[in-house]
Order: sequence, then C-alpha cells, then structure tokens
Amino acid sequence: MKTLRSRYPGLRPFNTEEKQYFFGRDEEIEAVCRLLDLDNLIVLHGPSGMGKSSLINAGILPTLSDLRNWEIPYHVVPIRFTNYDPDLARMRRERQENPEEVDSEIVKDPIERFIDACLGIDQSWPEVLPLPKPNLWLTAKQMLIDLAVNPMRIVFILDQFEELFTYPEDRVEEFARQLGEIFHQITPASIRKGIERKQIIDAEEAQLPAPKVAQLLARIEEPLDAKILISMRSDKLHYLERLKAHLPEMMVNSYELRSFNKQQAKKAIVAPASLEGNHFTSTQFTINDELLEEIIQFLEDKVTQRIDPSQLQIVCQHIERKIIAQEQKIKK
Amino acid sequence: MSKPSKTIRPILDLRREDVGDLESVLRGYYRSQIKSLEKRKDRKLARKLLQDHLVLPKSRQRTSKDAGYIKEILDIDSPLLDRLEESRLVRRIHKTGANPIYEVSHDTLVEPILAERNNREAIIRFIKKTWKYVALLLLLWFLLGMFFENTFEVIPDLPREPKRLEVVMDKDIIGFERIDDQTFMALSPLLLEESLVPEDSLFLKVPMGAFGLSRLQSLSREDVTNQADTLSIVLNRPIEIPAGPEASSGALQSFSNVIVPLSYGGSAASNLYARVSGGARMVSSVSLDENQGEEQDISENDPTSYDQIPLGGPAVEVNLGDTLLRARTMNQNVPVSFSLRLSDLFDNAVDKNNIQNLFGDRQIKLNYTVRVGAAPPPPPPPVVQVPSVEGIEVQYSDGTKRFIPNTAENSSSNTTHVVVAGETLFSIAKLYNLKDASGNTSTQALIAVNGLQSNALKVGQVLIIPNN
Repeated sequence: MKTLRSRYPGLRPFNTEEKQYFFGRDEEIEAVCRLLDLDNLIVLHGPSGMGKSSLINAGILPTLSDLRNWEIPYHVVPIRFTNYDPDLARMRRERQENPEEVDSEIVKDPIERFIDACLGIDQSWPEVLPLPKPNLWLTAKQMLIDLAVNPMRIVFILDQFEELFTYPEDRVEEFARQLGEIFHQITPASIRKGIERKQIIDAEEAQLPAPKVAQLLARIEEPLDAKILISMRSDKLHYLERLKAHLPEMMVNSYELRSFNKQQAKKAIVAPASLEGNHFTSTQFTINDELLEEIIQFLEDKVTQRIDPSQLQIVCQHIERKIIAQEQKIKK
Repeated sequence: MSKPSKTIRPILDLRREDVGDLESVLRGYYRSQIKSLEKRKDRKLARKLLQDHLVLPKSRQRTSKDAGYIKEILDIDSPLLDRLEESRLVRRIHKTGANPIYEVSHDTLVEPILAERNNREAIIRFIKKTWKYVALLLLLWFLLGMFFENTFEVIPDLPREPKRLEVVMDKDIIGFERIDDQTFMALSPLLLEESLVPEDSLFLKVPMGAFGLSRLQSLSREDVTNQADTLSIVLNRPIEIPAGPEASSGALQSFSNVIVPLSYGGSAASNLYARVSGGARMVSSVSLDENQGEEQDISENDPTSYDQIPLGGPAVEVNLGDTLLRARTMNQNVPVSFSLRLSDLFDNAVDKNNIQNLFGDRQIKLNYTVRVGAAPPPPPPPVVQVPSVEGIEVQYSDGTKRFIPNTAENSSSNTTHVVVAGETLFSIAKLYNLKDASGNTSTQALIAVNGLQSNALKVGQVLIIPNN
C-alpha cells in the first residue's frame, strides 16, 4: 500500500523525498550552492518560518548531492540541532553511571550528534588515537576513508544552529573549537601530537596498526576538504559572535532567505497542483488565474509585497482539501 | 517519479467560488490551532494572548509583548508559547540583552484574530443580554418536558385559572406498574377490600412530574405556588363503605381509607412517583354525615394525622355496605374528587429546601365519617352461588346460606351473573351474547342496566344481565 502524499506539506518543512514538489526557490538554491562552491563557511539565515529547513532538505541537499552538478563530488552531512534539555542532560549523567539503563538518541550533545552524522550508527572504527575527547576533524577524515571516493568534499549542513547556544557554555566552546579545526582544514595540532605519540608506542611494542587505521594515518596529513553551511534564525545571528574566537571568518559570507516574491509564490502554489501521479492525496488540478491573483493579493505583505511561505502553505492546504472534497463528490 | 496513473483522473480547475473567503481560511486555521491545544486552560490563555494582547482592534495592527510580561502577567508558560510559535500563530524575536518579544507571526492573521475577538465579544454581549430569557425558556422547556414524561393520563390545564392538574384514576394507574386487564380484574376486589382497612394502602401512581416538580432538588415557596398548585384526584372507582364490626343502625362511624400521597416510589429521575397510601396527613375531609358538627376528630386517635382541611359537602344517609359511588348516585353533591394543594404540603414540610423531605413521608388521608342508616345490614358478599330453576342458593363468606327464589323481578325479566375472578365486562357481555344495534358484542347494555360507573368488577358482584 502506497502512502499518499499531500501536494503541500503545510507548516512542517519539506523533506528530501519531497524535492519534486518544492517550487519557487530555484534562485536561492543556486545562490547558496554557488556561495558554498566559492567559500567554506556560509551562514544561511532568515526569520522563523521562512523555509530554511525546506530549502536545505528539498533544495540545497539534493543539488549538492547530485554528482552530475559538480566536478569534485560533495558528500553532504546534514545535522539538525535540537535544544539542550537539562533533564535529558541529567539522565545522560546517570547513564554514564549506569550504562545499561538509558540509551536514547536524544541524549546527545552537538559533538556526539556530529560524530553520529558522520559515521552513522555502524561505527566499525577501532580506537584510532589515544585522544582525550572525541574529535570531529578526525571523525570527518575517517568518514572520507569509508566513502572511498577520492577526491571528495564534505559539506556539513548545520540546521537549527541557534539551538547550539542553548547548551552550557563550555560545550559550546568545545564545539566551536572543533568546528574551527574542520573549517581550517589542516591537521589540528592535537591530532599531530596524538599521531606522534601513537607511533612511538607502536614502535616500542613492535605493533602494526590495523589496516584501516594505517590507511587513516597515511592520509592524516592531507587537509580535510570540508565546507560548512550554517542555517539559523536571523533574530539569533548575534550568537555567532561567540564563535569568533575559533571562527573569525564567521559571518563573512551569509545569505538571507527572504519570503517569496510574487513570481515565486505563484510557482509555489501552481506547480505542485499540476504534478501528475497517483501518489498524491488529491487529483491533479489547476488554479484559475483570478483565484491565483486573489490569493497572492491576500497573502502579500503590503509594504514589502512579499509572500510568507507559511501563510502560503496554510492557504494551499485548504485549497487541496477543497479539491479532495470536490473529487469525492465527482466519484459519487 | 512514480509511473503515471493508468486510470485517467479528471483535472479539476479550481475557481474563485470553490475556495471561499480567504480570510476565513486563516480564521479556520487559527481556530483549529487553538482547538488543538489539549488543555482548556491553554486554549483560554492562547485566545487571551492573541486576541486581547497581540492585536490592536482600533488600528487593526499587530503589536508585540515582552516574554516576561507574557509569562508573569498573563501567566502563560514556555511550552504553550513554543507550541504557538510552532503553529506559526506567533513568532519570537530575540533582542540582544533583553527578553525576547512575541508578536502575531503575520499581518494576514490580524484580521482573522480580530474577527474571533469580535465574535467572542458579541457572544459575551449576547449572553449578558439574554441569559435571563434563556434560563426562563429552559425552565419552561424543562417543565413541559415533565408532562410528556408522564406515564398516565394527566390533563394539563395550565394557562387557565385556576391552575389545575387532573389525574384521572383508572385501572391503569393502580399499583406501581401498569398491569394488564386480567391481572387488574383479579386484583381489583383485593385492592378495594384492602383499601377499607385503615392501615392498609391503595397505591395510586402519580408521577411527581404531575406536580411539575420532579428533578428539582430544591424549591422555594414561590416555586411551589407558581406550579399548578392543585392536584385533583378523581376517584372513578367505587369505594365501598364498610360494614365494620361497630356498625349498627344509626351509629356514627369514621374510617379513613383512601389516601393520597406522597412519598418517593422510584429512583430514576423520570420515574418519581408519588405513592398513595393510607394513614398520615389529612388534607381534605369528606363528610357524609348529615350533621357536620358531629364529625369525629380522628386526629385524636391517629397520632400520625395532620391538620384537617374540611371540604364540607352535603350530608347523605348511607347504608352499611354502600359505596361512595352509590352514595353519589343518590346525591350528586357527594364529592368523589379531592383536591390537594401543594402549598399546604409545603407549609408542613420539614425541610423546605429538600423535595425529598417535602414529600418523603407525607401522606394524605381522606377521612370519611358516615352514619349508617336504619336499614338492616346486608349479608356479606356471596362466595358460592348455586343457581337452580327455582332460584339461586347463595353461600356467604360468614357461612350462612340464603336461597333467593326466582321472582318476577329477578328471573322473568333479567338473568343475574355473579362475577368470578378473571371476568371482565366484555367477557360477560360475550358470554350472554349481548350485542349493540350493529350486531357487535357490547358492554353498553350491561353497564346501563347495572348503573355501573366504571369497568371495574368485583369478584362476587351480582350483575343483572339484560334480555336481548
């Protein structure tokens, strides 16, 4: 049984499977991808409800992932941040005391999330280096080795990045430091030291590293070709100041996601309606010009003459329901 | 992309008129979002925040409120605010070094929210204006409902003065259950006999609804007097005046048999019945004595009796064994209906706020004082009759036998029939093949010849069977 999809997801963000019904953001997709191609750190920002997550999931991510688009392919790692929950943090501390009791995906801090996103649940890596803390740069490198495509670039897409700042300051600081290491690409000093130490120990014990680790060690001197796309609410942009100690380049390149202009809005309304296929909850339909004009006029901001995507979705969902009702009438 | 569907689906063209007012779309969205909040309190707070604090009704604009203000003054917690933000009704704006502020997320939402606000205000105004009328209507509806729930024949006569309800007592309302004809016939002599014993009871099912009071848990003096105050109970069935042991010619005799009222019979709200039983309160007194001054004061002997409200009435001389109805046939002024005033009951109520106490143990007794006339006492009811050519031999319950010879009066013109258990007027009419003009079996002649007042028959009653 095929699950039927709505032509308009409403207020929830579009997901990647829905990229075919994502319309009206072509310019933005192209602009952000071009910026990423040129620079390594981009901040995408816009007010809440403007469609940042949709743009990422159904626009940027598929475009970057499409191997045909790029000379050097991208490996895209999307990471969606969630807010810090003191209760969950307490549970986490308890878990460390009683490891068997809790294992929840939610009980993870940004660094752990990052590592999970890179290596997935199946972490087949043995201990590589005797490092005091999990290291993002090293993890990213491990991931590249797993991918076994060379050359390849990584793009980390950090959605809802404002949630990072709900964590205690020391966690934020640590994350910023490690994000800085990724951004600066060259092998971090702590890793270098770790390698040296490991080589000494291995030599003393006359031990050969595991093949995978050996592969990593061989490539560890190479810079990590990684890019970072940060997406966050514009009203929280000032938090990024806190990361400047480790990422002075922060906010050099940013892109503001704005609401739809009239043309984009029309496309976002009309295009999903005319899609063919029997996997939609509603039948294929068209929207009369008069009605379209009225919707646009109704939704547009009187000052900026732009159309809020959330509002557009509310109205379009209503329209789709009308169509479904009409269809049922015809069937009868 | 999935393959195109094989079945051709119609392409619908959506027009202006299909969609309706766009503002109402957002209004519907606003409503549904508020409605989706699980807690009633949250819905109330969300409406308060959005309708009263985040929109300006005069300039029709949105305005913003500081998070601290929302939390402290409006007592709205963060989860609710987050939820509202998630549903895009409000949006949060962070300002450096200050509390975030909240505002309605979009201008298009302002009109729908204002419309809801006006709507609510209009409802409140309307309620303020009309609640009294609505309450009155509800009360009326409620009282009317009472009548339709009644299980018996209650003839409401509300609009006219005096306010009266008439409960016609017939076979169907004897006892607590409606009983079928046959059972009634079998029971009726018993009931009537029993009713003659002062301590015993004849039950008359009267729904409290007849008083318009059922389900009211408390009521005031006004409530009572505003209701149909009087309940008339019409006794359509013969009440026999007993041949008591003390009865002797010319002696004054009192007895109290019938009664009226009022205790709870049922528990279900729609089945609150007043019970008619013997004893207790006397509301009306029917005197059949020719000298009212000589009426005995029963309350001296009966500790449960209450004040008397004499009905007065004419004096009629009766014979032992006479029935009230027979007395009535001799003198049309003998009342066979009694009125009962709720307000009188109310005055005597122990707890005027509690209907259960008001009617709980109240009973109404109709007292009769009769003077037995000079005529010799008639024999006790016959129990066995042996008809023969010469006449009928009747054996009475006291053991005596009497032979009634067939005389010109009772044999040549009429046959007699002694009623046995299970018989009805109709069955007797059928037995003797009594028919009306159109040839159908009819009880008319039977009733006419015997001067019957109702269909009730007693076991042992002697009926004259008319000749065809």
